[in-house]
Amino acid sequence: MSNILWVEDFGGGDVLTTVDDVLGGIIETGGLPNEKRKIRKILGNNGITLHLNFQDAASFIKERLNTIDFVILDIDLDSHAKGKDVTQDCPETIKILKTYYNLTDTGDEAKLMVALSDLQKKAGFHLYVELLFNHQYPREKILFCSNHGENLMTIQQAFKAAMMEMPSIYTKSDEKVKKLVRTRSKSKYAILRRGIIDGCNAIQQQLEEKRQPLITSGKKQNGEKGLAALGGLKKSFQEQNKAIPFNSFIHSEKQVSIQDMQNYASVLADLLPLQEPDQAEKANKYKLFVRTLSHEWERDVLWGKIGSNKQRRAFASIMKKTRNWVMHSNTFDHLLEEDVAFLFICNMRAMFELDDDMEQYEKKLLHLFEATDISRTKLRDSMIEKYHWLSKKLPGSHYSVISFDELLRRYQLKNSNPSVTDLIQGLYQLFWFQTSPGKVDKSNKPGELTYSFNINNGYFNKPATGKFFTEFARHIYAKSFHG
Amino acid sequence: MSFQILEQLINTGEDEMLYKLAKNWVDNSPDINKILLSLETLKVQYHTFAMLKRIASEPVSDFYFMDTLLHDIFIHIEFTHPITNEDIANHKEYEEKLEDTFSTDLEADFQHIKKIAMLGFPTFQFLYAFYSLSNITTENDLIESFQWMERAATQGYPPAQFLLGVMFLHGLGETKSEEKGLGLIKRSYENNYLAYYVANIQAQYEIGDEYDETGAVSKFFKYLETGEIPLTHVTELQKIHTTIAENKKIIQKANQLLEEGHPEEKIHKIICLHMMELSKIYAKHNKALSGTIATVASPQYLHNLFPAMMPTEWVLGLMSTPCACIWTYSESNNSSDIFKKVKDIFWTLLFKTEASGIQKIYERIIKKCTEQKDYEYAQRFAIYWFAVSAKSELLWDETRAHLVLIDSMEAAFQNGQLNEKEWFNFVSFLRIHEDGEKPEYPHGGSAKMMITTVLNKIKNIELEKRNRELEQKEQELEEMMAMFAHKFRSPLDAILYNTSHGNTAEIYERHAQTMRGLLDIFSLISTDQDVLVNKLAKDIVGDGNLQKLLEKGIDMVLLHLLTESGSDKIHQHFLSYAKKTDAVAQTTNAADWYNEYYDLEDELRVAWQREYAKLIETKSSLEDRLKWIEQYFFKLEITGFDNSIRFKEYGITESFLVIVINEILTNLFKYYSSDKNESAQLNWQSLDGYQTIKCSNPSVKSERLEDKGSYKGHKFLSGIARKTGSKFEKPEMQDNFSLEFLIPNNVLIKGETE
Repeated sequence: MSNILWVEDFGGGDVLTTVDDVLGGIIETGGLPNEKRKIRKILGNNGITLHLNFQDAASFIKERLNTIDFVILDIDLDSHAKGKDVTQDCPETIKILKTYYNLTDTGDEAKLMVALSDLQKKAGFHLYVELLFNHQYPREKILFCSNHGENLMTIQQAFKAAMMEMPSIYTKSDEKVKKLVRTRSKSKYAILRRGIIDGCNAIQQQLEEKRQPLITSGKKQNGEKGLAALGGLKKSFQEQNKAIPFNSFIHSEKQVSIQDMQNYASVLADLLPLQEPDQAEKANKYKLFVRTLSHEWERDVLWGKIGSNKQRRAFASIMKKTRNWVMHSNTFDHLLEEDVAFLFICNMRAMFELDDDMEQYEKKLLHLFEATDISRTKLRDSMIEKYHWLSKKLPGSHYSVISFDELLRRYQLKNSNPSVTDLIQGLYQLFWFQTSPGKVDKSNKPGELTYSFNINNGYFNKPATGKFFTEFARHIYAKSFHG
Repeated sequence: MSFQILEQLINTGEDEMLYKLAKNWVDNSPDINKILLSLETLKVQYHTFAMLKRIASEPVSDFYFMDTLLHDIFIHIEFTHPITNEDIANHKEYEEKLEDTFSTDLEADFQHIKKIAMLGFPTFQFLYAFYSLSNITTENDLIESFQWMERAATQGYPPAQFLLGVMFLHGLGETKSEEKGLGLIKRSYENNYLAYYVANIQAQYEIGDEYDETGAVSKFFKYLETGEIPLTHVTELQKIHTTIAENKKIIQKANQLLEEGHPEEKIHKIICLHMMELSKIYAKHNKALSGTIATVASPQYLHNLFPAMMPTEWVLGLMSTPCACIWTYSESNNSSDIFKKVKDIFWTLLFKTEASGIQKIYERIIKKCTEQKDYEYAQRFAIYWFAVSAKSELLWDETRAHLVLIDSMEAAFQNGQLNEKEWFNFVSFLRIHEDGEKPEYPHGGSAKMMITTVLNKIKNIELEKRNRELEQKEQELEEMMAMFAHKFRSPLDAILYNTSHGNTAEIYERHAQTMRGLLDIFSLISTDQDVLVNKLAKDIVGDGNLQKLLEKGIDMVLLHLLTESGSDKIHQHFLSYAKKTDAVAQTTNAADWYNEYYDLEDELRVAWQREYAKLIETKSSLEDRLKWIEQYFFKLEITGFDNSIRFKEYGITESFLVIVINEILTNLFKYYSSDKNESAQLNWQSLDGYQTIKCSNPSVKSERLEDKGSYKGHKFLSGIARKTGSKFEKPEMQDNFSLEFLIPNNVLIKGETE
């Protein structure tokens, strides 16, 4: 689900009814408390930021709009939060009052009250304008709702005076609202984009947490002043590099720094625009994204240095292949949202140090897939079938000695027109073959092969444990073998 | 790295350490490092840098203009804020200046600078490099800084050439190279940069080891005369002046150079800059002289600040006026203050680069003129103001400027700052100029046209006035409807509560009756005023009296305010009670209470609601109710609510009074706030032909400004007062909050009926 900013003060109406009217299509509203502050907390845990007044919303828009995928606005709003001093704690409100409501002196209480009352009727309009003009927020990503029939005229006048086209304003109880919220919230593109942004932010934050202590200790050991400090910093740079697992399996002279990786994450986070592009443009964007994502993998991978970490090996081989193919083929010309999500998750797991538990962004991205229970026997059969099928495509291959990874490489390289679908699916399948290594031998019977796979038990943990490996496997299983 | 450490030392005030460090460097560095020796020089650079940063961080779109401006300012900025010895001695003040200069979000500023730098502007490239140099945390930063400096230097930007040279000398970001370093510094000198520093060093060598400012000055002049330093470098001198004598000497020398036939623009510039400097110094000793000098110097001074911005004439015309009028209209006679104000103007202009800053100044001036009924000045300033607004045209257009003025005067008239007579005086003023032989407009123009315009405006105003009256009536009707719905909520809430709790027949009846009464009164209010007053006047017999009325009013208000939605208006009472009973810490503030303690608040609300409902079920008296209110809210002292005035229960008078009492009590509970648990007073008394209801309570601003409804209550009371011949004035918003409603005796008391 995408992240929503909902600005609503409930204006004395029934809180729960309004919540159901607006969000009923995306969350279960039965059992929610009928109290706006309690609801705010619960919605917050579900990616919906609820702000109850103009000031809080304006301040949020100013500082954290990039965490939001679409906005639902009420028109008539409280000007500021309960318990706050509007003259002291609400700079955005005062700015608007001074600019548009003829407030010159905040000490003049009577005038201030009038200005606040006037603002209240058009608060949603100001937020809309702020989003559009100061943040270039796409108007399609803003849903205007109201129940205040008497203020519609005011808002119409406001738009007219500003010579702006008035957006559609829906009554909250209109069924269309539920549908619109549902469509926008569950858009695959929006989910993908949000997952990537959150993922990149999480990685940047993790890197920063690693970097700061290293700088401090570097300075402490080597003095904080003069050129000695520079020497100390140099040492700490080397320490910093070690903090990135990716560096452990690439050549020492091609090491990446924490700063490089922070920039890398920051570039990735900005690649997909907020406004969903059309199909053709989306395909271009996805290809560009995968190209940028896999760029770091142009370095030679020292496979021997990855050691026994099967997961990392799997993800690294997926990414290395992606890099090779993206440069010279049309394999990634028509990616789906889930393919991009899959590659993003693999890449981050391959390059950085992440927990066994699922990251929040991974949870979001896995929403793009349908989880399936995995059967050990069926998995084995699928793997055998896939291997057999691929090896047949390459007559003359010494299939008894080569890995699936190599088989896939040759298929892409030697086949004059390899199937794009097979190649993409091959990347998914690499996960299984790398995490459940096996071998293929000629059988005693002529013309037959024997396959043995050491199927990884990690796939079969109970989903409730929330372990990344299990969840990832469950979610990509269907895509890997069944189209 | 050197800059970083020096900055730290400057910031922490470790001057001694700074000198030691600097001395150490002198012993071990090439000669050119002596440039970095002077604490004053460093501070000036630092300060310059800070100001540049601030300018650059302004979100302007005209980067070309900014680039030119920055270049100019970078060379001359020290004129406007020279760091004198006095500044250095007064370290605290210096620090404050720095704090003031820096914005809080350095990173954001510099990301902005970087963006502009990427477009290829050398000043910004230099600025970004300079910043990176002083904020190195990684090896990459140092290299990046070097690269940006190199880009700016390659474009021939002298400051960058100079600092890139220093970086080469230190091996910062690139292999150490004395040859490259000195080569670059020489090039910066050839490009007119830092001539003074070089001269100063040369002077020092000739004079001796000790730093000697006077010596350096005379040496500098010597170089100028012999041609060793180009004449244009005279501007560099400003960096070493501090005294009146030196300033005078510089002005004198500059004048002399001028007389000798050197028509150098920079010489003009230095004359006026030093005059301003003199003015500043004189401000402490001879205020009158200070003012005179500044007045003479200011136009040229302003022109110097904006050479690339606008045509000269326009700048002079534009800016000398606010300077002069700041003098004219300054409330203070202290020249130092005046000087500060002028400086403020410069800063506004420097930092805004748009006309908005100047407009504000003009707005203030015109307001002041309007207050003093000085129309001529108002007119002049309006013309200037308009010229500022339309700066792209760069032309005087007095006709349009007059319209601006008329608008300004009209706004003053409509806001009540001018009365009708004064408004016509203004018109007459225009007439005089029409009839007179010599119109005194600053730039001529057609007075006749102005008058026609003004008269048309007056007609329009009358028309608008009528429209406004119509709109007001319409609005009143809307408000009446809103209030009708609002007042219905209280009895409705009571009925709903009764349904799920006591289910007492009597309560149903009582509130249903109240609702019927409200329907009656609202239908009368919305239709015929005379009928309403008539009916009120006749309703003077019955079981209803003021005490019962008050009981009903209190019940209605509390039953509504203690509902889930109603309680949103009275959070402060729950918090106050929680503190009183130590349920929360005494330090808990209103925002924390609202955001963190809603469960506790709801528990209290439900308990109070239940308790109050029970209380009124048992036929409790007014005293019982007041005791209950005191226990949970505050002490409410009641006087005058007796049974002297009679009316029919649930009749027209009671309904009318219920609405008034309900509104007054709701205000009381909504806005009451007192840390000392002060009491509130509600009083009914007969006074001067009126029955007066007055409610006073302590309050605080934050409660009054909180959104607790539609703000329509007072408008409604005004409306109902008008319809019944009563008196109500919107209460003053103050901590001793007091609300009064006066009902004429003839609508309430027997025998008073007309």
